[in-house]
Amino acid sequence: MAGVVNVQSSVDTEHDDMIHDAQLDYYGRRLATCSSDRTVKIFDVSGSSPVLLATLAGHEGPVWQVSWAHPKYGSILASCSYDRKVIIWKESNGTWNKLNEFCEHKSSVNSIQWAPHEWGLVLACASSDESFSILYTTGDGNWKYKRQESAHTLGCNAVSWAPAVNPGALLEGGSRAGSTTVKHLVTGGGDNLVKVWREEGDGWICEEKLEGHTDWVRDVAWAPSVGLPISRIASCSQDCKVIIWTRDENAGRKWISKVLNTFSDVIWHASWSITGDILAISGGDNKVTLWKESLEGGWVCVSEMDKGQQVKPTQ
Amino acid sequence: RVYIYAMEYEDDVSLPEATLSVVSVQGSGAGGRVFCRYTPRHTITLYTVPTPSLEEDNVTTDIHNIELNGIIWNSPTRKLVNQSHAFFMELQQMGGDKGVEPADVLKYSQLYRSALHECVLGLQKMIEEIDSGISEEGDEVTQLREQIELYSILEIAWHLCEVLFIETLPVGCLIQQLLEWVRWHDDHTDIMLRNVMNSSQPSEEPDYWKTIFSLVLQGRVKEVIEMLKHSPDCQKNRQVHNSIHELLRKMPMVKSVVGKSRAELRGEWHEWKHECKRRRERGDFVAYEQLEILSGILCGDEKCFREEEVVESCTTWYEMMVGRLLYCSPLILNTDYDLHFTAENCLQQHCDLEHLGSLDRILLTALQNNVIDVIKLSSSVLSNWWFVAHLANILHHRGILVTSQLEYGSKLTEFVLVEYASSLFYHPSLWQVGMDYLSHCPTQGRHYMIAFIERVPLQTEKKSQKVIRVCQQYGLTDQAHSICRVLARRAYGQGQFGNAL
Repeated sequence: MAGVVNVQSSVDTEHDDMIHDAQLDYYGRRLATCSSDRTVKIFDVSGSSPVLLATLAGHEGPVWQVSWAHPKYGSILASCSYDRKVIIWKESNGTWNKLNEFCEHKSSVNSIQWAPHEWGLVLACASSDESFSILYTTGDGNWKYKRQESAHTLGCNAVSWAPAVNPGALLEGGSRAGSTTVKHLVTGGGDNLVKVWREEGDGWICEEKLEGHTDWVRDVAWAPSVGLPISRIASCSQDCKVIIWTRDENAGRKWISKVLNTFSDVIWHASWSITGDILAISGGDNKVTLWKESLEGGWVCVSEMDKGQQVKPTQ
Repeated sequence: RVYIYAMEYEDDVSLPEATLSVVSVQGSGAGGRVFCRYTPRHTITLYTVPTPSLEEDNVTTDIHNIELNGIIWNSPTRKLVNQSHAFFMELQQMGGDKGVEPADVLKYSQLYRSALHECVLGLQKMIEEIDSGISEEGDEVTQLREQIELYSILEIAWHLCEVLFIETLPVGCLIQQLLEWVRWHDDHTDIMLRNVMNSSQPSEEPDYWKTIFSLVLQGRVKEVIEMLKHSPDCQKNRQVHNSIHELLRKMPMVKSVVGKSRAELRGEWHEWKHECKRRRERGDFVAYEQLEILSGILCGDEKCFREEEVVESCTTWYEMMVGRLLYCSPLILNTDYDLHFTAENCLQQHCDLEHLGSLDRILLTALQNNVIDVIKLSSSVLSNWWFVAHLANILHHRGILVTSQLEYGSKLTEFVLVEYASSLFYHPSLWQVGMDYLSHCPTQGRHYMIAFIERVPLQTEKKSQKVIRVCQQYGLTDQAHSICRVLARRAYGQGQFGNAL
C-alpha cells in the first residue's frame, strides 16, 4: 500500500518527563502511559478528544513499562519501575487503587507482561537483577510469586509470553489451551542472549539459548498465533539488528534465525500486530518500520514516497 | 520527523531508499528515539524519547495513534463500504457450481462503479456544505479533496477494467466502450463546448477548434457537425461544408455494430476511410488549415494527431489514445498488441515517464492486458484496500484472474480481502462488515476473525449481544465464552449479579 498515514488520535499526556511506554487496552479505548516523572496516566481515547482518567502515583523512580490485563479480570494494569517495584492497579467504579505491590527484585524491573488470559492472572517481570519472576493470584486475593534466578547475566531486559494456543493444533473452532498446554516465555538480556523458557513443575527450564546478537538484547516479542504450526519470536538489540526466530512445530522443532535487517541505530522495540502477521520495529534515528511476510516472494508491496502528514501539536 | 517504512521481508531484503510515509512528530529531533507499539485496533502508537544528551526543552510527551492505509471515514465512505458490502455478499452467494454468469458479474461491476460515483458526489457535496466564508482551505477541505481525487481515480480505473476484462463485447464494440469510458470521465470538453457555443460568434472563440478536435477524438460526430455550422469556412463554401459533413455523418465506427461480422465492419470502415482519403487528396479541404487537419484525423493520418492544437485538445493521454484507436484501429480487441502499443505511445508523449501517477500506471497495466499486475500494482500504489479487494474478487468470479500459475495464486484474492476487512475493524460499527468479508476467506479468514472479534469494544448491552450472535453465527464458541466472561465480570463489578450469571 502507498502508506498513507492517518492520525487517529493524539494525546498530550502532560507528563513532566520522558515517556517510556504507551499501551492501549484490550479494546483500544483506553491508553496507559508511564514516565520518568514516576507516574502512570490513564486516558480515555475512545471519543473525539482524549480525557485524562487517572494519574497513578506510587513509584519512586522512572516507570518503564505498563501492561493491561485481559478484561475478563476487570480493569487491571501493571507497571514496573527503576524503583524495583511492580505495582498492580485495579479500577473499581471509576477509581484506581493499588491491588498489589511486589518488591522482591533487587534492582530495576525493566519489563512486564501479562500472560495469555487462559493461564489466569499471571504476570512476568524482567529485572536488572538478572532474574525474572512470575506473579500470580491464587484466587483468594493473595498473590504469590516464583523467581527464576540467573536468567541473564548483566540483567534481564525484556520478557514476552508465548500464545496459549497449542501451536501444533489447527484453529478449527478456535481450540484453546487446555491444562495440558505448557507455558512458554522468552526473555532477552545483557548477555546478548535470547532465552526460551518452559514451565516445568514448580519452576522454569531454559529450553533454548538463542545466540545471534552481539550486544544487549533490548526487546523480545513472541508473535501471536498465525493459525499455523509455527512459533515466531522477534528480538531487537543494541547491535542494531532485528532477528526473527522461527520454529516449525511439525518439523524438528529447531529454532531457525533470520536477520530481518541491520539498522543504522539501536533498535528498542519490537511489537507484533494481534494477528501475528505484521511486525513493528522502532529505534533510533526516528524510523518505524513495519514488516510483513511476503506471499512466497512474489509480492512487492514496498511503496514510493507519499506525502508527509503533519501531526498537529495538541492544543 | 518520524519516518515510517513498510515492506515485505524476503531473504535478502535490505532497507529500501523509498520512504513509506513521514509523520512529523514534534520534539523528535535527530538522535531521538521513536517507540511504537502495535495496538489492538490495527493501528500503531508512536511516542518519542529524546536521548539524554539532547536539550530537555524539546522533550515531547505526546502520543500519537496512527493508522496506515485505512479508510478515512465520513458519510460518503461509510456508504460506499456498506453498499459494496451488500453487493459483495450477493455476488458470493451467486457462485454455485458453475460460477457466476458473466452478465451478472457485469451487473455487479456496474453496481460497484455506481457506488464509487455516489461516493465522489457525496464528498463533493461535503466540500460545498463547508462554510465558504473561510478564506483559506482548512485541513478538512484538503483531506476531502484528496479523497475526491482518490475515489475519482478508482472510478476511472474500475471502469476501464470493467470494459477490458468484464464486458463480453461483440466485435467492433470495444472502441465504442472505450469512447464511452473517456466521455464519462471527461469534464473539460463539455465545459469548453458550452462556453464556445454560448458566445455570439463561436468560431471567434480561441477554444473553437480545440473543442472540435476534442469532440472528434471522442467520436462525438453529431456535435462536431453542429459546431462546424458556425465555421466561416463552411458557411462560405457550401461544397466544403457538404464534403466534411457527409464524411462525419457516415462514420461507421460510432454506429451500431450489432449483428455485423468482423469482415463486414472492416469493409465498412475501409470504404469510409477510402472516401475520406479520396476527398482529402482531391483537395476538398486544402485551403482550410483546421479542416485539413480534421479530415486528416478521420483518415488516421499520424501527422495530424501530432498537430499542436490536436494534442492540446486532450487533457489526458488516454483521450488521445482512444481517439487514435478510433481512426486507426477501431476493430481493436483487448488482447491486441496495437492497444498496448498505442497506449504506451500516447503515455510517452503526454507524460513524464519518471513520475507517472498511480492512475496512469494502473490504466497502462490494464491496457497491456496484465490482470495480475493490475492487482499487484493497485496493492502497492493506492492508499486503501477497497479497490483491489473488490476488483480481485469480481475478476475471480469472471474467471479472468488466473492465479493457478502463481505459487501464491490461491492466496492472492484472499490476501487482499483480508487486508480490506482488517481495515474495517477500526471503525466502531463496521466490524460486522469485516467479519462477513473474512467469512469468505477460506484459508486465513477464521484466524483473523478470531483475533479481531474479541477486540470489538462491548460498550452497550445491544452491541454485546450482537457480537455474541456473530460469534455463534460463525461457530466461534471459545470467543463467545470469553466475551461472556468479560461481560459477567463487568456486571459483577457493577453489582448486577443476576446479569453476571
